[in-house]
Amino acid sequence: MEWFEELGFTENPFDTDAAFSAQYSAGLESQLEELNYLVNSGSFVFVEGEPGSGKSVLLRMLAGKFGGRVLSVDAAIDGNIRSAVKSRVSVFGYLLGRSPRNLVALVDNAQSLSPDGFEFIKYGFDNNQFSAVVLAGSALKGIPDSILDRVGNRVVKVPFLTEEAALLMVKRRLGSSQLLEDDSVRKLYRKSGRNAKKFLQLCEEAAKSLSAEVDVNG
Amino acid sequence: MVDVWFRKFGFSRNPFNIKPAAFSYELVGTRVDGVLSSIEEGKVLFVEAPLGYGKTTLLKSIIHRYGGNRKVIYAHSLNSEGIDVKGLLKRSSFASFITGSLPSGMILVVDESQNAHPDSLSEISEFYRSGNIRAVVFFGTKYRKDLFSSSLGQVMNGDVIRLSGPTPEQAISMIRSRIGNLPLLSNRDILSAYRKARGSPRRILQLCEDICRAGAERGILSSTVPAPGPVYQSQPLEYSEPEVSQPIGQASATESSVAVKPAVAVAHKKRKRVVTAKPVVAAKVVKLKPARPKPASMKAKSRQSSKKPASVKPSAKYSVTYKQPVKAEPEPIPEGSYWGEFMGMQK
Repeated sequence: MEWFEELGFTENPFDTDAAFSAQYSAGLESQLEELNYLVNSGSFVFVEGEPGSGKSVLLRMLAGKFGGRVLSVDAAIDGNIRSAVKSRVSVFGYLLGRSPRNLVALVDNAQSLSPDGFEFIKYGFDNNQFSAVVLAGSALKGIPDSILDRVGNRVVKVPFLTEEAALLMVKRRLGSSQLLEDDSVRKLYRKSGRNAKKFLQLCEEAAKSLSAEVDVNG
Repeated sequence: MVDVWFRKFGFSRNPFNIKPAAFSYELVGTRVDGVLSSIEEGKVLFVEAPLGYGKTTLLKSIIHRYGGNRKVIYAHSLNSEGIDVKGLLKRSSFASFITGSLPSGMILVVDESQNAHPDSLSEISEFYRSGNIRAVVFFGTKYRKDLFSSSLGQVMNGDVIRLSGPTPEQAISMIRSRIGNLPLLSNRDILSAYRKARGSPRRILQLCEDICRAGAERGILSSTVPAPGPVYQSQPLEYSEPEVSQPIGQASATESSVAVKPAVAVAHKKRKRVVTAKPVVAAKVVKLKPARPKPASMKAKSRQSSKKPASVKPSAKYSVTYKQPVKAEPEPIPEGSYWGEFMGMQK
């Protein structure tokens, strides 16, 4: 039995996977709204935030808003994203030939893009294969000038986790369960360095130790 | 998404879109003709300009003008690979692709040429000599003379054209060609964007978008009185004080008022004028419909700044000040300035 099953959950309520987290996110609403506008206005955007702050979650929520029109790639998996793009786009034929239009390109871990990867994204944007591009990364440093020039001031910063958002996140994830009380959550928040992922990991540890108690007490 | 600001004003897409493909019909003028005549004469040319100054826009207009993919080969210097010139030639037409014979008389345009690979340059040189390629235009942020001389040598017989940025007036023209006389953005706003952008066209577009968006979201529909008459004329443009405190809801009475509420009635009114994001641009100065003569604005002109508009404060962020009327100095259009020709402005 998994620890969360012992506590009556079917899945780990503190899972930090982006797709899972997207359902329960809190504190990213204004960033999402801003990104929504920027994508609708055909911009080239950079989402900046430290690792674990919620960039991937934001991209996931954005993908949800734009449905099938989205091309999501993770540059950490393949810095030259062409192969990932080809497999997604093969339905339409070779991308540079009979090309789709109006795809929204969402690239996670953009700092891991290869130079060719950057050129590819830029070409796709300039030629309107991508109606908008959102790159997510930890810093603007290391991004080529030609990309930064297109971004300009369209940089959306992922904020530090607030205590409010932390409480809300936990409430949403736990539902009706009283597993972690507000005070405990606040204590965990203060240890988290305002990093969402770290916070969730601390919550998971705390929850696990609670389940251990359940074990011990039968 | 209906509530996007530009849709409210009747634009189906963002009029400040920075994509090169977005407004490719914008490009006219003798400077551009210089590039075109170089192509006609079968030369090899390098167009050098900083980021965001219109290289790719010009490139795409060349492709369009010369008949698309079958006549023009678009190459793109990636960092590691060179350009597969032979491959591009082969794939340029179905016939070539099938028979394997190479076409002749193709035009080659190369983007990102600051990254050009010497081997690719040599290959280009060969195909140029043999007539498969009849003209080449390189586009890049930096012309590396040593690289190009050594690989292309005498073949590099065209010039190096350097694109400079627009003058303030030309920047205004560029913006007006996209949004017409939309009062949401005054010429003064455009000029302040121009200063902040340090002349980069792409940055000017982005800043103007920011101003319009902020204004629209705050319910401000016009920031200053639009200058009477066509906007493009190179004469002193006079700015006047906006009408002070038009009662809300009567904003449609004159267009010179600053509307406090996002008065939907006014937006609809504007919608008629600003129907499409595609004004027709000819090689001459564009004749916009002159704004209706506004007696109200004439009065406003003589009014001094003692009465500040009480009704609305625009966001301080965009520093649209209403303190004094500002006279724009007519900037002489410099010789050889790409942007002067670009907008077909009279000399």
